Amino acid sequence: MKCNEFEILIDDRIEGTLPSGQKEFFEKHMQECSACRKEYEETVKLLEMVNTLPKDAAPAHNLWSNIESRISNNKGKIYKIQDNPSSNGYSENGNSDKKNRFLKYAAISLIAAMILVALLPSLFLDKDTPILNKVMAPYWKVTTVSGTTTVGTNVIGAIDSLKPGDWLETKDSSQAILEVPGLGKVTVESNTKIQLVKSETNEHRIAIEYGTINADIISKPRTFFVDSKSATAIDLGCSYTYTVQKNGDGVLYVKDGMVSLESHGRESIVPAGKFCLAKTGIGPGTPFRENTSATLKEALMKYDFEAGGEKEVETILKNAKKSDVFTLINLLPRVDDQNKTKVYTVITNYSASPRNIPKDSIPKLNTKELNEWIQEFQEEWQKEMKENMNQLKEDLKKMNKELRENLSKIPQGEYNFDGEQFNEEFQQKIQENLELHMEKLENLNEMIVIPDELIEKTIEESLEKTNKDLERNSERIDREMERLQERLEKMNKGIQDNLEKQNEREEELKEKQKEREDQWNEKEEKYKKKYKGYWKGKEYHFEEVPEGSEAPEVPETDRNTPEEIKPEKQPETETPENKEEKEFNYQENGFINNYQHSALTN
Amino acid sequence: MLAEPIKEENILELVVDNSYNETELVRNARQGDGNCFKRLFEINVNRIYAFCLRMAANPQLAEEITQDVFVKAWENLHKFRGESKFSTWLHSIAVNEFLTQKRMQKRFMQRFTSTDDVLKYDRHGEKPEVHFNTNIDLENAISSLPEQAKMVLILHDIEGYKHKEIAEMINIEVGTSKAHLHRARKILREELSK
Repeated sequence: MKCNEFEILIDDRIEGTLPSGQKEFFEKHMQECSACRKEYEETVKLLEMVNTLPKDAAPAHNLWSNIESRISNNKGKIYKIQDNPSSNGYSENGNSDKKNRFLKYAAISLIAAMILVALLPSLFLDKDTPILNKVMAPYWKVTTVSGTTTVGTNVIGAIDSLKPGDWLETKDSSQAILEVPGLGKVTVESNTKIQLVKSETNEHRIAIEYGTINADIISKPRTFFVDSKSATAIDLGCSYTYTVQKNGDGVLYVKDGMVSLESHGRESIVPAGKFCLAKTGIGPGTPFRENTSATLKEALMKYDFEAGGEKEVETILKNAKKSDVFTLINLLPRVDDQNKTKVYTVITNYSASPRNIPKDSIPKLNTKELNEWIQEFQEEWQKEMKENMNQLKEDLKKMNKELRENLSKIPQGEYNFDGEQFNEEFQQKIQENLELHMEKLENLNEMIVIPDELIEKTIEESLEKTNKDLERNSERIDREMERLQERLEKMNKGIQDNLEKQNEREEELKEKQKEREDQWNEKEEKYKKKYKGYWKGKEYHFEEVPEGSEAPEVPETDRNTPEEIKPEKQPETETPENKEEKEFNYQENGFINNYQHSALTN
Repeated sequence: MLAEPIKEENILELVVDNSYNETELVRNARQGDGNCFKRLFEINVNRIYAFCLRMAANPQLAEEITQDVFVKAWENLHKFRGESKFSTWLHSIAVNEFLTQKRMQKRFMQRFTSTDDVLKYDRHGEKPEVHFNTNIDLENAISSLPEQAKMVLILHDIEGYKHKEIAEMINIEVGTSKAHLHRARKILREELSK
């Protein structure tokens, strides 16, 4: 083994990855070569020194604060780091640290245990409230779903908490979810400002200044309150959307369960699928279903918010359908005694009162009783719907069974089956069933309330989509037209250029032609002056004319017509000899021959 | 039957052993829990800072890069799949940071030469500032190594990574990593024998 080979293998030898075949050579060389041995020993020594170097080093400054602010700047979030016992003075090594930490944990556990013991009696006093709710009640968990949400002046992080007195504000495209164990979930939609007013076991209260919240409340009724300038929404076990405008006017839509809207001595019980408006300084109006008749809605608005009277009540009663019973029940405490009986009568036409109320006690109906009535009616309605659905299912089952039976009646292997008759019967039965179900469906449709808003929204969306498609198409057409226009212009330009070029070329050719003609004429003139041709007998002769003298006179007798001067005998075939001769003559007397020809033709 | 009471030493183990909750901390941090990320920072900051200090040979720059490493880690937490240790992942971010820094060295140097206190970064003029309270000669010798050789030596001999891991971190061949280490050790031997 050579020294340079040995050097390469030192690292492998130290790491223990040297192949066994090379081990012997390595050891042998190390014994033989003192320089290589020294190198190996120095490397080992170096590694021993390196091993003593620390893996850790503490920075001189607190880096976390800077990192925290950079994270918040980058992400638009500030992560509130709650003081936690493990976050300070942490070090990985040392037994004393272990003991200290153990003592710290033990102390915390002891304090926690003491708090729990102190809380225990109150936890078991009220069995309805979950324990978690009691422990966590003062803080609401906030989960930012999207965008930037602020608590006071701070931008909140992905998970944070809200305590009583805190204001929470969402911006254009942000949304936040508030959660309280045992109470439910409140989604704060974009452009909304709310304040957590109170958070106690039996009362959770938020104030909404403006914007929209979606509440899904699972706690017992009258636990969750939403205050606004116009009214307070109190959950009665429900899921609802509450929108408040900046002037305080609110719109409540109940998706599930019931909500009580209260203010200025007015109370409206809003059941599922109904809307209720509230005006600042007046309070809540009467709830209504969105697709109720426009006349009824108008009359209600007038009655609730514009001090309407008997006329409006009559319009309401005239236009109310069975599905408007909730509206009428809510109207009952608001109308005067005389109208109360009228309203009561209309209501009982559709739904019997849960209690046998004597006529004279109608004016004294209180909210609790009305509430009960609404509840009863709602239950009845739901039961009816359920029954209808069940009936529909049963009918369908029956139809299926009949169909199967009819199918089994088809004689197999026999050809005397009257297909036409069977078809007719079958069609008839299907028609009957269809009619029956259509009727039921129509009944159901009448009962199922589809908010106009939803229909309008759907139409708007589809229109918007169509418009967008149209715009996109028209843009495409425009682009295509532009492209065509460009191509046409290009083609036109090309044609024009070509025409111009052609004209130029023609002009050029004409000029050249003229030039040639001039040259030719000039030469002709020149030769005309220089040579004079004449016929002598049958031969045409040229004679050079000396300058200054005229061409010699040719006797008349010698002048013949060209026909006459045709050679008497034309060679029948062109022999190579005469062809050569001809060409030679032509070349020799090229111009002269030409001249001769032109003279002949002239 | 009553459950056996937990012995004090078992509780100590539970409290002290951080590996049991690293996954948990990472998972929570990934969901945006700042407290958990802070805890991960506290566990790893000293080791990452030590690496940065050896690489940069300047405490201020080392602090700056350590901060960058943790900010990058926070931003890319969703990419951490837990296939390696969290500290290994942080080291690879740090390595990347230095490689990027090297690429931007021209701009970097311009920035440094404009301030007086960081002139020491230019190692041709003065000795590097490595604040380890141990073998100062060795630390200085390490800091004067060529960049890649130094990186491989620190990762292999001090941090204890294998050549395969280093090759993946720096994006080089295993053989190249071995060659860098050999060169680094050779230079160190020569420097220390002077």
